[in-house]
Parts: sequence; C-alpha cells; structure tokens
Amino acid sequence: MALSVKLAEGRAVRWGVAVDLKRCVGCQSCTVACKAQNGTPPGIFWTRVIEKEEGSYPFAYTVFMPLRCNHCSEPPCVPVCPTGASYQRETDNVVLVDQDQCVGCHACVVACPYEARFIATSAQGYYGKNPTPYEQVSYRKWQVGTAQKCTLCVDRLDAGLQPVCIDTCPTRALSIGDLNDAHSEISKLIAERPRFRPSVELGADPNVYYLT
Amino acid sequence: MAQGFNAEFKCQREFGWLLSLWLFLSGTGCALFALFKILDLAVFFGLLGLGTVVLGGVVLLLELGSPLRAWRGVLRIRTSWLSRGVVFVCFFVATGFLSVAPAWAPGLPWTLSGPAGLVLGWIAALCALMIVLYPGFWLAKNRSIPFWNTAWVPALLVGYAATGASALILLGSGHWSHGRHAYDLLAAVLIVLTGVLGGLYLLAMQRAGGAARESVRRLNAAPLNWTFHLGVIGVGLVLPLVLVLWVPSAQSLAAICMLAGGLLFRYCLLTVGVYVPPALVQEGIDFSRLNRTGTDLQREYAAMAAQRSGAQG
Repeated sequence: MALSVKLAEGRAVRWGVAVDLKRCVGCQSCTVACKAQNGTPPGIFWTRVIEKEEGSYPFAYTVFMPLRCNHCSEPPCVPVCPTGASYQRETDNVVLVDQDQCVGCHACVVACPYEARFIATSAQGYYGKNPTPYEQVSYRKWQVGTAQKCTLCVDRLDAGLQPVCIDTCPTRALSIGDLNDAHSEISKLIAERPRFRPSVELGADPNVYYLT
Repeated sequence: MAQGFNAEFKCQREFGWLLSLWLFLSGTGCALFALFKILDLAVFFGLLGLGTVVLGGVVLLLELGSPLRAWRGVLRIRTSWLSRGVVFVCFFVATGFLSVAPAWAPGLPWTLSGPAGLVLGWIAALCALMIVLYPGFWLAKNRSIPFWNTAWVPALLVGYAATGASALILLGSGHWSHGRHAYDLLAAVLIVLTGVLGGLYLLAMQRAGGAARESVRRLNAAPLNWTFHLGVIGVGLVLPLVLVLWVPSAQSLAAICMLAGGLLFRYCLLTVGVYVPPALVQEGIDFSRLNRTGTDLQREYAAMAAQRSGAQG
C-alpha cells in the first residue's frame, strides 16, 4: 500500500507507528512478513508479537503486543556506538546500522530498552549448512558478527511504500505516518485514542504508540 | 526462541565470561599500575599491570564480532564511553611502557626516576585510573538495565579492581618487594571496603524494586546462587579476609581467592542484568470486565435482550 505523506519543505519527517491493541490478534503475520522481506537469520526477529497470560481459569486471557524498533527520537543505541556505525538519518528519525563500520561490540544491543537489536553469530540458514536459494540471496543483506535491526523497510519507505509488517497486518492493527504533521492520519488516531508508550520513562522518546 | 516472545523479566544474554574476563583483567591491571606508582613498588609490578591490561585487550578483541575493525573504536569519543576507553588504553599502554622501559633499556634518554620518566609514569597512572572507571560509566549509562544504571557500579568496579591489584601485590611481594605485612593490611582494608560497598549496593537495588530487585533475586536463586554466595562472598571476600588477618602462611592462597572472587563478581554483575520489561499496562482497556461471574453475564444478557425487545416494540 502506498504512503499518503505530504513532505513539507524544510521539515523533517518523524515516522511513527501506531499499534491498535484492540485489533491485534497475535497472529504473527508481521513477524513472518518481516522475516520474508529482510531474510533475517534463524532466531532473530526484527519485529515480533510478545504475549502475556493474565488472570487465571476461568477468567484467563492473553495480551498481545507487537514489539519492534521504536526508531526513537533520542535513541540510546546510537551514542553508545564506539564507531558511529549506528546512526539516525538526518531527514527523518529512522535509526540504521552501517554494517561495514560495526565492530560487533554488543553495546547497542544491551542499550536498547526494546531488545530490538541483534547480532548474528552464524551465517547458517534454517536448513543446515546448505542455504536455500532464497537464503543465498537474502543473507547478503547482513554480515555475521555485526549489529542488525529493523530498518522500517527504509527502501520501501523511500519509494513511498509502507513497511511490509504494516502492509501485511490482516486486522489493520498497525499504521504508519508522520508524527510531525498534526493533520496526518496517525496524529489524529493517536490524539483521539487512549495510548501509551512502553518504557517512555527511560528517556528515549519512542515513536511507537500503543492504542488501547 | 520462545523466550523472545513473552513479556516476563529477561536478562541480557550478550555479555558473559569473555567480557567478565576483560573487566577483570583491565581493571586489575590498571589498578596494579596505579598502586605501583602511588606505593612506589618494584618495576615488576608496573610491567605486570601493563601485561594484564594488554591481555585484557586481547580478550576484548575475541569478544568483538568483527575484531579486524577494532581500530574504528576511537571514532566516537564525544559520545561513547567505549570509544573513550580505547583512547585511554592506547595512551596507557604507550606511556606506561615508555615510563618503565629504562628498567631494561638503560641507553634511553630518560630514566625511571627522572622528570620525563615520572611525568610519563603519572600520565600512565591517570590513564589507568580512567580505564578502571570507564567500564563502570559505560554500564551505568544503560537505562534499560536498572541493576547497572546506578553510580554504585563504577564505585564497585573500582573497589574490586583495587582488591584484585592488592591480591597481585600479595602474590608478588614475597619475591619482589619488602614490608609484606603492610600489603596484608592493605588487602584486608580493601576487602572490607569492597564488601561493605557490595552490601550497600545490593540493599539499594533490592529497595529500588522492579527489574533491579529481580536482578538481586536472581543472584540469590538457582543457578547463580552458588556462584554468588560461595564464589563471590565466601571465596572472594570472607575466606581471604580470614587468611590475611589470621593465617600469615596462607597469603598466596588468600590472593588467589581474591582474584577468583573478583572474576566471579564481574560475571554475576553482568549476567543478572535484567531489562525493564515492556509494560503491558493498557490503561484504556477495562480488564475487570473479563472477571465477570456467570450471574453477572446472565444479568447483562438479560438487560441487552430487554433493551433489544424494547427497541423492536
């Protein structure tokens, strides 16, 4: 689906994601779509839906919460990087890793309060030593021993498309937009619904809002 | 895999034995070099301190995912404590080596006790102090792990570094120095100070609640309780204190116990780093409605049915 963002002259975009927890059914479609798009190695999930069991029988229920990089406005993972491999784009708030510069010191992985950074220790795919044709192509996107994370599908974003996790969500629980634009759909949605940002007290100014 | 998909308390799994060993070697080595300058010890101790720090650097290289790019670690000294640390280590190794070099290369234009040798030695000692401090500052900057996000961590790492250095002095003092009794006292004082500091730290973390409290709980629960109680407290603090105070013939054993305890302390500190869990507190959702009893539901359905029939009528 195409993005409907009007870029104002001289104004930086602040990409935000709204997660409607009333719509999320914990189907993990976003998890699988992200894996398929980005070819992340086994055991690494740039986006995932965590769940928590609450209550007890007969009033037991499960709470779902899609968790991903929050592309924070003050990302704690960026200043701790000793090489400058972790950076935030100047044109928006997308936090990326230049894997050619990363030394794999794990500092950013530990600094992220959302556990949204990973270091692959092996290039082995899901089916043993011989990678599938898909893995042979997709595993070229990352390097072993360096940090990797959600890029907010930055290539799609720059082409005016939504990230795949948002595109694939069957209940439309996820939406993306410019938080700096008060008239954007996401700004209106966030303004009119009760919402929270997990671990906001840690000072990172996260840009993923959970609507309740 | 399932561990990443639930919202319970989780420990960081990035740092383990290798990083603990690096913290131990670099801290102990630098504290030993600083004590070598302050207490005017034999050159052997300066060299031992330098060698220990270099060994720690090699261990850190093994920990890196891409060690061949380690030189890039100096590029962000403005924001990153790791980057600053790399600079301190480079300065320390260079100035420390130059300051003790006249001991085996008398042809050099400066001497150990001359002005140039002293200046180089004190610059190295200052760098050593920063190397002891910076891992603590780096860990304490992590807001996501409350057990580390406190000023107690750098203070404790300094305490353990000094204790480890005093252990190395105890080990080497029989051959390389005089006045061993003074070093026994130094070791005893440092053990007591570090123990008190550690106790206050755990008390503060226990009272802080949340993830910090969970870290303290994990220190006292399986599988880490034996490592912490027996290794860090028993072997690392209590036994060496008893030995240095009352069993003068077992000083070397006391020193080895102190070193082992220092390594285990760093391992425990790193492995119980619990993240602040993502809050699943959804303020807008009234979960109490899920706790309705069967009678409540029957009443509610009856009211809805009555409302529907009223609207139809």
